[in-house]
Amino acid sequence: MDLENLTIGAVQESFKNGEFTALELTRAYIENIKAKNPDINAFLEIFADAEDQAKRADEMIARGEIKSLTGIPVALKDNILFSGHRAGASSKILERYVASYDSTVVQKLRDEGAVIIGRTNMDEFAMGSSTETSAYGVTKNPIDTARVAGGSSGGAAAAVAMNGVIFSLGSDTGGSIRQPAAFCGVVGLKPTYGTISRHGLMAMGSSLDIIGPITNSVADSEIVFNTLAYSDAMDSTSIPDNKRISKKTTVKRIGVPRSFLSGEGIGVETLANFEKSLETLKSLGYEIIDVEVPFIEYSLAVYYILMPAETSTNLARFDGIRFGLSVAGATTAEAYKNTKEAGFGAEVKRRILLGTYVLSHGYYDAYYNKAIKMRAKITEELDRVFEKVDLIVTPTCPTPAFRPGEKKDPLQMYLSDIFTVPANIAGIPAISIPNGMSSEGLPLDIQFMAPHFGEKLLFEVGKNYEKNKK
Amino acid sequence: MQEKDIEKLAELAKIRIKPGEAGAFAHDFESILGYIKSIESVDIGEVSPEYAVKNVMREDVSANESGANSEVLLAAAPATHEGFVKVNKIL
Repeated sequence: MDLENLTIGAVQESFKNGEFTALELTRAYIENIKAKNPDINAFLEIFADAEDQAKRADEMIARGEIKSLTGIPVALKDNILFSGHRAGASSKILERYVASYDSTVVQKLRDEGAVIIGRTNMDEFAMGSSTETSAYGVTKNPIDTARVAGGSSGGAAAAVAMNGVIFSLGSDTGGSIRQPAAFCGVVGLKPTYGTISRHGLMAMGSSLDIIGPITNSVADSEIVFNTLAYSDAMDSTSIPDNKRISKKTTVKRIGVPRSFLSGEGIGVETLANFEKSLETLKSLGYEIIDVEVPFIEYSLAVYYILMPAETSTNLARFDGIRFGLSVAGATTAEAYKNTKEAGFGAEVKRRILLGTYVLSHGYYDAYYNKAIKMRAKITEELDRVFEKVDLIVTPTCPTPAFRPGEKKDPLQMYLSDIFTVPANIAGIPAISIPNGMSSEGLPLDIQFMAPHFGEKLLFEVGKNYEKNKK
Repeated sequence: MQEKDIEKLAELAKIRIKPGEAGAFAHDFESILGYIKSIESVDIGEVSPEYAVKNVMREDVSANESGANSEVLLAAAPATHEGFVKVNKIL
């Protein structure tokens, strides 16, 4: 069976026409994973019940009960809970943890009859941009195994790029879906904050986190988003369905934040390719307008205050008392320290300490409170820009995929999120789409950002661009 | 940011710092804090109230039937005793 670039629509047609069954497709994917995963390290586990799930999907198909994801093989990032299955956020502190309930997205995937094949590698607790902080080794880029797959959803992106599944679910706090999708040459969507439930997603930065799909095409991204985006009582920040309103119906004008593109560390080839993309967009009839967004440039600084602050709070739950790794100690404080020492890697400790610092007495106002105000200002500024243009376009990443060990200094690693972070700060949707290859044969990328609830606009332009890019 | 500052933060966060680690963290923090400090001097003026963040609360009522999840949650706990999670003596 040829698994190259299969799409959800095409596969379901094949099910209906009896060309192959969900079980046959699942077996073909598992065989491919077994052949390629030793080199790539995208999957941490193939679930033992994958074939049983496929058999149930075939029964649904036989009954004529085909929903939008019935029989579609999918992989989960290791921080999304699937009841009775291991979930560990690629951390030693959850080495033997078995999910005690289904996340809302998994519940929906099961209702749809999707086949959840396995769980994929990630940076520990989603803290990183290359999967190098995983306790289970780095995920290699399927396009060039000397490079990283990106992160933090590196395994989820590589799983799609290596034809291990049709799509995967990742999570995006500062670019963790879009950057690895870009590095691996696939499509990554970060939806509007609050559109897809976070219930059962291990929290990192609760005000920034969102689950989203990694797919082979924009059309598949749209199918998965439309299936998973609905209001959920189990997530207090889930937005009521009747408030998910986009004022815009179509895209005519696209904004380019020029001054934002002239920062340090942005590759010459990335910029040249981006300029070429603007010409393509013009030839497709879009008006390209330069826009001024002076505050957006502070997004990454704001992010590295808010995210560690929320992280240090969220990760306090890993205390060795209720679940996960537990290392005994003479006192409660000793037991905490022993457990965290055995369970957490260096980047997790670094961010907990940084979060503790920005929230501590004497620094709270200067850092956390100022960052909260800056966040409001950035959101307001983007809203103003969206009065003039319908979308904003940038590259997704400043450079193509780098090599393991290349970014030793934490700040250099953080700067690889420069273009993706603003969408998380403002809570707006953004999509990364493959955009040609570099001279070294590595995938290049393009990112579109839309106003809140403007996913439809991203899909409209994304599909058009994908079809016509040169 | 000095080693003793890192050690103090680690104590607050109940994280043990290995010998030599405090110096490395202090070095990392210098560059990270240098970067995020850029927001200190930015004059942003007033922020429209509609963009202010707010807490999302619900009524403090039981979301689940009592005991519905006890078995599975206790099974995940490292140590239990007669239907309770067992912890170190605190007092």
